Amino acid sequence: MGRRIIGSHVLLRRPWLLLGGALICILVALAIGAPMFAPHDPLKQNRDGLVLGGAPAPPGRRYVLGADSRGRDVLSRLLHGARLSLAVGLGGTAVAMALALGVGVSAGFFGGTADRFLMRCTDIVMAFPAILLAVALAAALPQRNVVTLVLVVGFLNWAAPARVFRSETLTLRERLYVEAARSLGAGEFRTLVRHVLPHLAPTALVLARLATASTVLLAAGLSFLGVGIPAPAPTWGSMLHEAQTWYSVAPWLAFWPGAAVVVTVAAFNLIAFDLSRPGRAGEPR
Amino acid sequence: MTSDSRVSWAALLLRRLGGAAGTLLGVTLVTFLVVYRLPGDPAALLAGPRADPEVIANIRRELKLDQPLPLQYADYLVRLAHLDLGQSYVRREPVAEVIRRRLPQTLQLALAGWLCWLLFGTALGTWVAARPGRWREGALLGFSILGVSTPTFWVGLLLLYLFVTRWKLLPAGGSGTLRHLLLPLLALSFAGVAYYARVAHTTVRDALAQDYVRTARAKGLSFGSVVCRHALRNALLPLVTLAGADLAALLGGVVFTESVFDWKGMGQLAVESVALVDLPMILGVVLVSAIFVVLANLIVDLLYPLLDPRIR
Amino acid sequence: MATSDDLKSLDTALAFDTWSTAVVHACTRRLVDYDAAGKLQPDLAEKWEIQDGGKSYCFTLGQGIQYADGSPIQAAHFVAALARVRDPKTASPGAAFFSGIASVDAPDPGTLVVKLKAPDPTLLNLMGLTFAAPLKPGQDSKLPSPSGPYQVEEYLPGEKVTLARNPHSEAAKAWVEKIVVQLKVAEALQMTRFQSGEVDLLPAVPAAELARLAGDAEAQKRLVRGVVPQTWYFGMNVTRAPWTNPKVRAAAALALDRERIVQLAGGGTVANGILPPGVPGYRKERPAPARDVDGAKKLLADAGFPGGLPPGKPITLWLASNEKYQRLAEAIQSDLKEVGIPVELKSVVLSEYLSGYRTKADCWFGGWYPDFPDAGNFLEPVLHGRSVPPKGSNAAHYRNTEVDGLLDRAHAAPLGAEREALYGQAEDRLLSDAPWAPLYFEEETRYARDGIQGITVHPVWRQILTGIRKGGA
Repeated sequence: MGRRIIGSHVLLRRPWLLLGGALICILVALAIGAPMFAPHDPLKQNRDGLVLGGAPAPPGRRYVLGADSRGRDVLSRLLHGARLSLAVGLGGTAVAMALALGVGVSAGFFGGTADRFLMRCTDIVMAFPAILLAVALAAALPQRNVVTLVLVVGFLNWAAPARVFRSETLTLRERLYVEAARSLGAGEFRTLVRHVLPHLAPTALVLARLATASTVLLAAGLSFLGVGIPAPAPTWGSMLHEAQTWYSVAPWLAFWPGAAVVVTVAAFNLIAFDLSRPGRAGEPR
Repeated sequence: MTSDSRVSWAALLLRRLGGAAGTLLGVTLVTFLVVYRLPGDPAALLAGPRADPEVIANIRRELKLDQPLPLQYADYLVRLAHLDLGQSYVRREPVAEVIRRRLPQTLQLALAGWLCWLLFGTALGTWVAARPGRWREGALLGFSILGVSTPTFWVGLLLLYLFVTRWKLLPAGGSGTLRHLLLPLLALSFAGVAYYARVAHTTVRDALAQDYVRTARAKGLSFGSVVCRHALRNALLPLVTLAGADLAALLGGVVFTESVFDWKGMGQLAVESVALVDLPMILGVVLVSAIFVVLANLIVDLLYPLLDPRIR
Repeated sequence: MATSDDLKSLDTALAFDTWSTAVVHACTRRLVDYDAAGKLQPDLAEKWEIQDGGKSYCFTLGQGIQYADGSPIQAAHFVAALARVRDPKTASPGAAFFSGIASVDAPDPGTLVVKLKAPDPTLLNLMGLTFAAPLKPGQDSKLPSPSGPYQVEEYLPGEKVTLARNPHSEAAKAWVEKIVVQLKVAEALQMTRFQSGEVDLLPAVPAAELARLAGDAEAQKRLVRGVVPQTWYFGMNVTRAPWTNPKVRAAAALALDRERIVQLAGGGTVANGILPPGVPGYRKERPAPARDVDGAKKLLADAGFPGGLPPGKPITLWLASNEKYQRLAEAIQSDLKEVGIPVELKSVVLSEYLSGYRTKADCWFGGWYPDFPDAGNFLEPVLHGRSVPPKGSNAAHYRNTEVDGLLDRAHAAPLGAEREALYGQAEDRLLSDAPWAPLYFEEETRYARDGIQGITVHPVWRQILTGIRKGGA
């Protein structure tokens, strides 16, 4: 049996990973190619997008998924929305993981006062009702754009992973080889980089996938509550926000953006689920 | 329990209480710093669209908004020490009064939702673990991933559209009766049940694989009673700890459900207050929610060593 | 009934938004009140005399007037109410209205004398405002002193307010016994609550429902519509680029598709001027402006911007965050973009909007309405040079000595044709200078169950709770 065949065989035995990965690839492709795939300009307020009495045009030949309350094409907004939603989700994850690694590893590695202080900060963040803190933070931003929202979403998601990183670092520190490395005269920083961080990678991978699921959800939630990326930029959350007053007349406005969120979040959850199964962290069995 | 362990437990209690107070203090500080950055002037809102600058300045003075931030914070802490949460800017009534009216609504929703999670989630997870099968396990997994991936507010909108707009079966939002509770509960439960089902499934399945369960089975106990008496009981401990923290988090986390269903609870109150820059109101709601979270963690922390002596 | 609005305060000295005013109006009577056509009529005052060349008003109160508990209403109670409104400590939003008053006295319980610093024919209008309702001694100021046909039975801020009929009120005998106003009900839920019978009246039909009802002849019969004196407009700060150039302002005014904005708003009339119908001086015959993209582009070219404004510092358009305003502001943005004026939307919460649009916005989307039917009350706070921020609400920072002179002359002129003509001249000048591009006049809609009568769109109060009856049919 050739090596290649074994490789594909392993993937086939992991259908969840395959499904999640495929979904994410498709989403990313759609997001990148949005200007090509979108049948209309997502910002253009089409005059024929509104029918009698100013109601949004229902799904049909011209607007495949219908038009919204301003006469814009829902499908085009959905595709362009993938860009912003994924960008905020992935960016937020990067910020969250960086923060979590920084806080968790230094708390676990240095211990003592630093540990107590950092863990107190973690407690404080975790004691907040997350959504409320996010709403207040987002509302307090001097300027709401992709970058600032990435920071907010990231800030809300670092505390739990930081705890995991801390306890893993603690365990690692106690392990003999770190002690040995230290006794051999390696500097603290060197020990950290060479002997601790690499061992955290599999955990980080799982946590990052999980975090992405929750950042995408949170980003959509903030926009839904009206404190996301300002209009008229299309995001799934803000489409749902606008749908709130229209769903009884135009249910398609509420259905599609929500479905897009579900598919995206589920894709990341699927991968995280597969990676977190025992014996499957990183390398195939 | 020996007297020695009792002493150390008391010490633990003291230490944890101190920690909890510190956490809450931190929460007020962070909230203060964030909400006082909120753009917008509550005085301008109160003064209305044609206000004189003079009137606005008067209101600012009355609300003590003209004082420096550290002074305002110190003032807030002093009043807090007297258990005074202050006066709502916009509603012009004591914050504590508004919270007292709203908290039961949120408690009702959160508790009901939490019970659903625990009951249906555990039941579903246990059932699948007791009768494993490729399709059943696959379905459970699909359901749990779908559940935790679905935004509550979206489920809420869909439910409202179907049950209220379309079929006209249930009241259109609002709170009060059992019929009002049904849809918010359903929306709230979807994700929770999915999550708990998966956790219960894993723990019960692992417990069933343990030696003592096999022994019990070998001794001739019926499968059902093995599942109930041994596996489930052992699986329950991690579930309950998880649930304790979740209940507290739920109190601050029903924001979406409340806002979609016009449920007059604390979450809706908080989101409204942010929009109205009603600073004392926001501080009050966040603080009360944080107290629940901290208390729940404290209880879990303190009960853990009592339940499981190995932790110490 | 259910509304998506909240009311801010039921304190007579503080109530100023539509719903607070509607409730206070139903719970109080004042010296004078407006009839259904918006004309002032004597109410608690039986008659009055104007003396001293228009600087002194002497009101004689009617006989046997009393509060809901049967205690008499006395002239001193008006003195107390006005003193409270004018006291800076109260921080009443209505304080400025009464700044022209020199003194208020009650020589006897049945007589009230108001002396002015300068003659002002609108004093009667001021006495009709809810701020001027009598204040019963010893009454909790959080609720209005119940001199009117209804009284507040229960008030839960942000949830609901319940009004009960005043047993002593003759007029109210024929009206409904109890009115419950559900506050802050999400738009999408309102019609369903109506259909399920939970509410009997929708005081403002959401745009989405209006769109759905458009083809339903039966429902159309049930709809009560009325244009109210409120002008929605696109305002430009004339001290900020690019609006310093009058040609760019004129181009923006030409670029806007008002018909479509009305459609998006779910109702209204295309504005043919700044003064809305219902305000004396409104000119029905003036043609409404039509959209002219080429004309707008040509004006921009004349102003030195052929092919549109160059990219540079973004122009911010402020709006208060709300789904409807957002929809309309996006339409403005898209119209302006088409002729080459790119603007960025800044959607902010109401409190930030109110504290910021006067000084921080390049341009904004807003609505303005007079507190009583008078052109001066409408124009002076927003377009007189005296009202330029920080002192006033002239967010356009528009100063024009000619307009200011016209407004001042009109203000002192007696009510009637001469006064209206002066305001008309000022309005013409404002329209050609274009610090504002008026968009549409607000239209309100009500939707009531069969058998509920007396639902109106009042030309002054807009929402009015008095007069609602349950028909015998």
